Amino acid sequence: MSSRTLAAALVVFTVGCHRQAPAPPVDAALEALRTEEQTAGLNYAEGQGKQLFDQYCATCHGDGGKGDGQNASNLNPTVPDLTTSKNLADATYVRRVIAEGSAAVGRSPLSPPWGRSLSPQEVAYVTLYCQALAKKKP
Amino acid sequence: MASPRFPRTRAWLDETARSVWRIGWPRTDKDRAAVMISSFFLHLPPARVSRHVLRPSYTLGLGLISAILFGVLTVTGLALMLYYVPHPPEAYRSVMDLQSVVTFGVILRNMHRWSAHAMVFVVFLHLCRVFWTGSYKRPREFNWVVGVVLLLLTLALSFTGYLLPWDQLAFWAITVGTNIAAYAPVVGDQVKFLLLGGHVIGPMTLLRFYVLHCVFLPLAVAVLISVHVWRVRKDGLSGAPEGSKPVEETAGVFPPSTKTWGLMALTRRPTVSVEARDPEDEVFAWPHLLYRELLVALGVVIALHVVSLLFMAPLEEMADPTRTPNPAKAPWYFLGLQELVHYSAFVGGVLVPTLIVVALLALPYVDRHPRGVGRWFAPERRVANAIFTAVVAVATVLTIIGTLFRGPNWAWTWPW
Amino acid sequence: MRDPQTAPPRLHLAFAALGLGFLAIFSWVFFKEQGAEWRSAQARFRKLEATVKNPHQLAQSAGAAGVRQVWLPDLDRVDRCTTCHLGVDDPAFAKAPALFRSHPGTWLTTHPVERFGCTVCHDGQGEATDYAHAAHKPIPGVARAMRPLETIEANCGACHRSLEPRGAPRLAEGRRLIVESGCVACHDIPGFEGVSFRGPGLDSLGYKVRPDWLEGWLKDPKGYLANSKMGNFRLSEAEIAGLRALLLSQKAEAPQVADVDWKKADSANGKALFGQLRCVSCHAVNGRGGTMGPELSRIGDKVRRDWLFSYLRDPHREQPDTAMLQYRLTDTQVRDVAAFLLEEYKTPGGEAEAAPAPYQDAPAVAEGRAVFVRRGCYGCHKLAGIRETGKIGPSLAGVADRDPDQLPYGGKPVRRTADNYIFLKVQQPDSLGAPSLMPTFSFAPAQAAKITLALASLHKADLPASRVVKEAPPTPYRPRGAFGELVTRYRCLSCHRIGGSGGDLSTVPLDRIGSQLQHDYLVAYLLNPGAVRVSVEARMPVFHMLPEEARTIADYAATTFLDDDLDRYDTRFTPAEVSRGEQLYRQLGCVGCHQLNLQGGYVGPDLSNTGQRLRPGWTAAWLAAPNRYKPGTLQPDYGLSPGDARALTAYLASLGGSTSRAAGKAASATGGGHP
Repeated sequence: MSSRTLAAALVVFTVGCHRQAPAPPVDAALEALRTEEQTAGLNYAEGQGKQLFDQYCATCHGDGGKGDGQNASNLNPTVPDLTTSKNLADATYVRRVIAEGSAAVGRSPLSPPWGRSLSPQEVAYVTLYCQALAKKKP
Repeated sequence: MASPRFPRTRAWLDETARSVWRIGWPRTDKDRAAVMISSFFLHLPPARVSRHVLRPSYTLGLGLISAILFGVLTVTGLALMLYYVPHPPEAYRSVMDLQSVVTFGVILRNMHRWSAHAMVFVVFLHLCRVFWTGSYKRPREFNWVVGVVLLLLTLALSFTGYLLPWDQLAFWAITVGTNIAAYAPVVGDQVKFLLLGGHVIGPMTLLRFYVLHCVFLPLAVAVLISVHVWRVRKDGLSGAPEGSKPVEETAGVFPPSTKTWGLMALTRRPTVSVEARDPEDEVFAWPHLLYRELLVALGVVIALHVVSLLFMAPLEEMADPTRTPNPAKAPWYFLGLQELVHYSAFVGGVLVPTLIVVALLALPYVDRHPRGVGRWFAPERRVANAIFTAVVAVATVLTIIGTLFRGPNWAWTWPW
Repeated sequence: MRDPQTAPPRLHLAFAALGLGFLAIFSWVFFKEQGAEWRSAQARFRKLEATVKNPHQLAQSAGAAGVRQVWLPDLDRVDRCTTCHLGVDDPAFAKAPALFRSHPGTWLTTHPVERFGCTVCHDGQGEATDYAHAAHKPIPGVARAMRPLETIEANCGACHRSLEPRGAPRLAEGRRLIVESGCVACHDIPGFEGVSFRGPGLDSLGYKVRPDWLEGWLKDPKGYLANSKMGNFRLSEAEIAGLRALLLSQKAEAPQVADVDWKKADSANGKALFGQLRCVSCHAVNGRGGTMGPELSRIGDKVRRDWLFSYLRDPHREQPDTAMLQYRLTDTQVRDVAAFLLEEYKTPGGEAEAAPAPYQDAPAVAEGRAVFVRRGCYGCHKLAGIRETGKIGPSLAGVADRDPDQLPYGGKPVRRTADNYIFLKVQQPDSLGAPSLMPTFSFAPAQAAKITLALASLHKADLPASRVVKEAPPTPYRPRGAFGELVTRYRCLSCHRIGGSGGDLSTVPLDRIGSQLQHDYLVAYLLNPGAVRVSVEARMPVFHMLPEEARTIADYAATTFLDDDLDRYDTRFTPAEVSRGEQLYRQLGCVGCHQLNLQGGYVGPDLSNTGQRLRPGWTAAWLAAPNRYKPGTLQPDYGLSPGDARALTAYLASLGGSTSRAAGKAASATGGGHP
């Protein structure tokens, strides 16, 4: 047998006998939750904030914070578009508006104070979500 | 020679030292002999040894290494006893605490574990060496028997210690081991009951194993090691000088290789008991033998430290009798048996172990052929060597299979 | 050759070398111990301390030296995490590197480290003092590695046993899905003992459904009803044939037909009634509406006309356990509604219904009975003559602690953990290698993951009672007498809660409704429920109640559903208070959510007639602390002083009717509002 045949046989033998490396094991439930988060584009805290926002804020501010909620047309002054507002860069400002109401920062009283209805943890979550809304590309 | 300074201080120091060590640092031949004979600790080895005994290539120092390992195990074991609690679940917690909290706890535990594994392995190698050099033959038959008993005691020590961490690895290894013991006919279940202190492995088992591991077995081993070394001294080292003819056995009560020294070490006149070898061939144990033994001890301890620093002793989660790992494996030295048990419970659990132990114990009384003592693989002993080597090879292969090539449900797996 | 007195030089060399080696090794041992992970972490922390402002507000990590541990004997845990995580409970370290950073959120305020340790929430091996052995990442031989944050709510559930734990939304969603999907019908689940789940009774199914519909339903319930609670049982053709024979032969009671002329049925009237009866509050059509009852989009394919007529007339005759109320309608009205439903909501081009044929196929019926028992249908559906043999699924107690090595994973590339097993089983019960009786529920992966979280909190070991947080289940409320009959007929408790038990469709619990609403208003409202809040879809239906029924209910409320604190309120308001209240109304921006005289928002109720509607004691209490009466309400808590709340109440009480009349009525009801 020629040496080339031998070499070829050796290669085939080595490659053929090498087992396929198994795929790395996953945690299925974890992956499902992560996919859900990624689809929403929000991390855990922001996701919590979104749930609270939908419950308390979306009626006026709209589902995406654009100021197009069900109740928005009844309000004067109008509801600002959170996604383009410059004020949202300041987390302290946002937290004040949420917890103490828009009247506390010198604006109209139409955005009520939620500081006694939400725990500080929940206020923090909503703040993060609002800031995420402002950062998102439309 | 000028007189030394501070003569009175020196004299006082000298006398104080002599009150402890009756013979001072030996500088004369008389002292070199006396220090060995009159010391409590040093009178076990002989005062003079053949030069050829110092050659490591004959015995490979395996017996010495086993004894050193036993010493390391005793010291580390006593230290571990300060922290270990022999009652589940505190047993597991205390081992966990040793690893996590106790200063130097990790190295202490690792040293103990790796010395234990090393001792089983080295004792096994020592047995092989003694066989292959034919050193079990007359007059050393009984010493071989003592050695086999020591091997069994070493395995017992390792086995009882294996359970003590009370983690999944320990618990199920001992489950497998005691189940193999239970295969013995007639007495199997009683033996298992005796070992376990009940029907299941529980707190009684742990306490029993602990007492065996820390009290009974070490005492037995210490006593038997002393007997073993004493017989070595009395029967003489079997290693013949290089190139010389094998010693002919002469008729008589005491074979020519017996050496008794006592006071006779101080004279150079041969007596009836002294063999025809050149007495100049012998040197004093102090310093030649003891110095070499010290170097071996240093080497062994350094090696153990290196291994202990690099490799962690395993600790899985706490033992859970309701969760069996798959596969559950006995300690490595029983894996060959477990592999056999997989084929046949009787063969692996009863037949083979019994045959091996009986064969080992009976060996020197069956093989009385006097030839071939003192050399490795002597041609006169071709058949015996071949049989023994074959058995050892099979045992090694079976152990390797059990360790590396068996996965869940004891199915064949490739370890890569 | 003479005996050499001294050892040869090579031995001395070896001694020197080994001696040096010995010293080197001992130094290595010593420095390894000194350089242990936790020691170097503490050294780095001490350097960090010097750079941080006002550290150790809580004085926990001050002077950190040595191993630090939290011992929790009642939980049998020792946690040494704070040996390295030194800044975890100190807000001063909020911006520190990850190892020393203070814990995010306010979790440590509610769960202080001294009482809870760390591994209760995060899992991992708390006794270890180095990164690897603490199981920050999974290590072989250790079952509980640290949980990633996404699934951490499974550990919340170990202590927090209520069905809707606040602060753990994924867990709450998972538990909600378990309740809604009816898992308790087949499985015993700890923590869900008070939950019951029944499907409709099948004793007269032969009269109720069309046979072709039944086959389609048994094959795939979701084909008919997208949000069906019944899973797909993956039945074989033979099993479907057997069940079909069994169920269509169930004719316990024929529907009650009246003497109506179906040819004169007026669908337009039916449609108007459909809107008035507010059916969509509970039954969705074309994707919009409530989910308490089944969706009606294709009801015409399913039910027979006579049965539908009988059911709409008196639902409690056909299905005694139904949540649906019995309207007070005439037979022609019922006819019109039925005709509308059957015409409007069906697959176009379907066959006309045939008379129910008698089913005599005894072997098929027997086979169907066997299938009914074998697949555990009786867990949800009562059927006469079926021998129930207990819940057909295994108990889920301790499911999180099942031995992961003994569980099947169907060859999927997942890590062998109980969590993964639960997830795979919930998603695809029959894909794990062995045939399964469990139906397929078609959960979205995220939903299945949340159910897994809820089930992963069910551990074998019991927690000490001091650690468990759960509410006592409410005692069921069963009123008696004339009022009780009305509650049963009109199924108030399907939507409202009294004493904690009831439904959640309405956000108005009725426990103190007598102190909230004025009597006459309540009577008028029951006779003609209008929209209190315009933006809400689910509304109270028009019951077509009789006036004396409305009065019975309002009288009972006014004498029983009271809150004495509210009734003691002094309702003698001064004009100064009213004008201050008006000022506050403008100041606080109430117009944003409330209508007043046709101006304002649509979030809260219209306030134009508050003077006739609400009792002032309630208004004041509500304004002062809305979350106390309705947690999660959209009414903000402005932190009003009692004086301000009183002023606003005075203003609102003056709206929409004479204040004195309202005050007089209130006074007479409570015998003079004394302070």
